Amino acid sequence: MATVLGVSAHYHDAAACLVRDGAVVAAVQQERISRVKNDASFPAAAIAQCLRIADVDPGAIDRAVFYEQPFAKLERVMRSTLTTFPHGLSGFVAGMARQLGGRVFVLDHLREHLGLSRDQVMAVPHHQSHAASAYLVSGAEPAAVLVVDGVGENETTSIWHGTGGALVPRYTQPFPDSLGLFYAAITAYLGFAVNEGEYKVMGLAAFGQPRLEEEFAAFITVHDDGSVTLDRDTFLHMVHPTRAFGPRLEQRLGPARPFGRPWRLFDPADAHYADVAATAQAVLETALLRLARTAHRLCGDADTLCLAGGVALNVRAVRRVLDEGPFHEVFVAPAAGDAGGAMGAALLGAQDLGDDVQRPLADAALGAPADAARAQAVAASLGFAVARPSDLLGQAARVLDDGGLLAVCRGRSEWGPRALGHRSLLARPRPAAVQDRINAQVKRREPFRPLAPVTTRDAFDGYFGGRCDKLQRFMTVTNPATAKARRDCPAALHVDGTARAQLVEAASDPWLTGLLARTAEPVLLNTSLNAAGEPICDAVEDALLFLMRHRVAALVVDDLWIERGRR
Amino acid sequence: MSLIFGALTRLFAPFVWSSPRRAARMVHGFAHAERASVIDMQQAARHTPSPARAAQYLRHAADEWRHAQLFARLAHKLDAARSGPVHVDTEHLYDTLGEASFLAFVHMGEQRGRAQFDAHLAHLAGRAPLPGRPRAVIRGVLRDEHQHAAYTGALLDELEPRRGGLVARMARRQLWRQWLRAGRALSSGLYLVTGGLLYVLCAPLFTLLRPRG
Ligand SMILES: [Fe+2]
Ligand SMILES: [Fe+2]
Ligand SMILES: [Fe+2]
Repeated sequence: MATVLGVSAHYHDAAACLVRDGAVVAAVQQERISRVKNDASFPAAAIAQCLRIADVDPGAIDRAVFYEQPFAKLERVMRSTLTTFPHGLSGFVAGMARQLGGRVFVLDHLREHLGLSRDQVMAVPHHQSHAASAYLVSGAEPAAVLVVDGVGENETTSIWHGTGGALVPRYTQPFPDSLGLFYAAITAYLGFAVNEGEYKVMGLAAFGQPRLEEEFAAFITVHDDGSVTLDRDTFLHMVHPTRAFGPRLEQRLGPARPFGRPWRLFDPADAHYADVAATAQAVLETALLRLARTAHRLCGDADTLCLAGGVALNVRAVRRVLDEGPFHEVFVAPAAGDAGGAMGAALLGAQDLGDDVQRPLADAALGAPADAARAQAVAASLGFAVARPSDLLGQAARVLDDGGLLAVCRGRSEWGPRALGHRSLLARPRPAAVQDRINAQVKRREPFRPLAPVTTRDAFDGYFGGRCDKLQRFMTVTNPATAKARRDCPAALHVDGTARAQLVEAASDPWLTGLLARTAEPVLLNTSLNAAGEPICDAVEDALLFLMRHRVAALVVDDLWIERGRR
Repeated sequence: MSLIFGALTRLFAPFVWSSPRRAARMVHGFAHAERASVIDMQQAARHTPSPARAAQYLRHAADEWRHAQLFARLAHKLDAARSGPVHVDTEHLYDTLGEASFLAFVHMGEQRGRAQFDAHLAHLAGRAPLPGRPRAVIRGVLRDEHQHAAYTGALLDELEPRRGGLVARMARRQLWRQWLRAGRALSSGLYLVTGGLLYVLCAPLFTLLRPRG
């Protein structure tokens, strides 16, 4: 019966997660509080938030667990840069500065910050944290667990056999051959920010053809077991602190695309970049599918594959694994990236203290609840019109049916990169032009980044083909759209005829299912509540600021209806 | 302090505006600073116990957000290559300073910003118009900065009637920050040299120890 804090930090997406008596009680990503996108700094604010949510004071923490082993990471940085003498010079200097500038001492930092003793703070391996964040909350037993990311301490891919709550390592691929870093290099080549633009590569891929296989074969080989070999002269992550690729890549694929240039997808130059994205995506899918087969072979008794690590955020690849892979079921944790490592670390720490931590995660609403009283007071001070309508769902449905945008901030905020209806912007997903309107007014996204639909279990099969299982709850897979979906929700479909659909059930979210019962069609467009380039809103103040800056019909905070009235 | 800042800006303005690339770099820096203020004000709105002040901070944040966008666009117009992302960081000022000191800090920042923009306007007046109309942009922003300085000053009077001491303390803090920044630049230079030396010394050893095959 322990209280355990898990923490991830210092690479990207710092986060904290609190587990009490084996159950996850709070999980918060630092960026949501600090408002700095992809904030990787020590997550003091997220830790404080978790403690506040669970009403725990720091003295009651039995153990704090960091999601990776700092010294193992330091060793890898030294080894990889020193063995590549003299090219590794800049990587060595920058890497050591980062490691010695705080990362290596993070366990001491944690201990001091929380007032814990030395034996109350521990570190678990990066990939094991990822694996635990999926397996222990999947509800599957036994399970094969596949972790694929850029790099942990030294692993870039790992396979684990999850059985009886324990994770047994079965396979690893060491640095520098990395599927995640390969995709990151292509992300950088296409002019997107690494660790953030990977979604864009996936979206862009649908506009291209994977016709550059021959060119790609010169720098990446995918082996039968799914492992990869990268050409050391093309990819620079071994030797350079910030540059992911070298001139070799440009010799093969042409000049890299400059950052921030507007996209013209029917221009031949941009069509070429779409082909690059399509080929990279095809390579990634092939590798992931082969890795899934390897996992199946190594964990013979498992029907379910649990996926974690940054690459598991690639919803198109997950669909391929589900359709063509050997497993009956696939599970992806709601926060598959490094933030999720905080949850895995906390669960492993609690398990180490003897708690039973294996239980399915029913809900991703693990952040702080919206404070409606505060929203009312601040909105009134802003001169906004605040009401408490007797039939809020009916009013919301009317606004949506009339084509209005509705911001919602209700209940606890979501864990992971997807807004699942608690911090969301909702709209009627037809006509198709709604997508352009939202992109122009709010998101300012590139044209190839699709918005997503949400629907109920009863309506799901009418709108989407492909299997519907646990994945749609957390929006971690795509489904092919039916003709009905093309009619009812064209604005929430991708150009390739798929959608990252969310399935919402009355048991976990009666508000949203209630709303879907009142709108003209039982499907809505659901995108995260955030301005372009900013983290998703968390507190009501963030949502009010969103309302001030965007043309939306209203903001719903729990049972409040707030409009930007005349002051 | 804002007097010194204004004078320095006047001194450097002709040099900066004489090259669109330099101007774009500076304006991009403005966008960066405005984005950082959005975050500061948003954090303050979340933390202040007073809903009325939270509302004022949110209005302030919305202004700074608009400024950030205006400056980012202007930077791009001045130099098309200047379109990189506006990365921001936070010093969690409200959390570390408390509300009164935070307000004093913001108030002084606004005064500095005002002096700086005044100096740029004075330089640009009567000169040939530049792409992106920087004068119009700066003039629009300046109006808001006046208002920001005024309301933070009024709030400060409310929260800390004897604000002289606080303002002086924050002025010292700002100087200290600049000093630390300079120190960091110097030490990272030194580190670069020692790090490089260490690498050259260690690497041959590692190459010898590396398993072959
Ligand atoms: Fe990772
Ligand atoms: Fe401003
Ligand atoms: Fe301002």
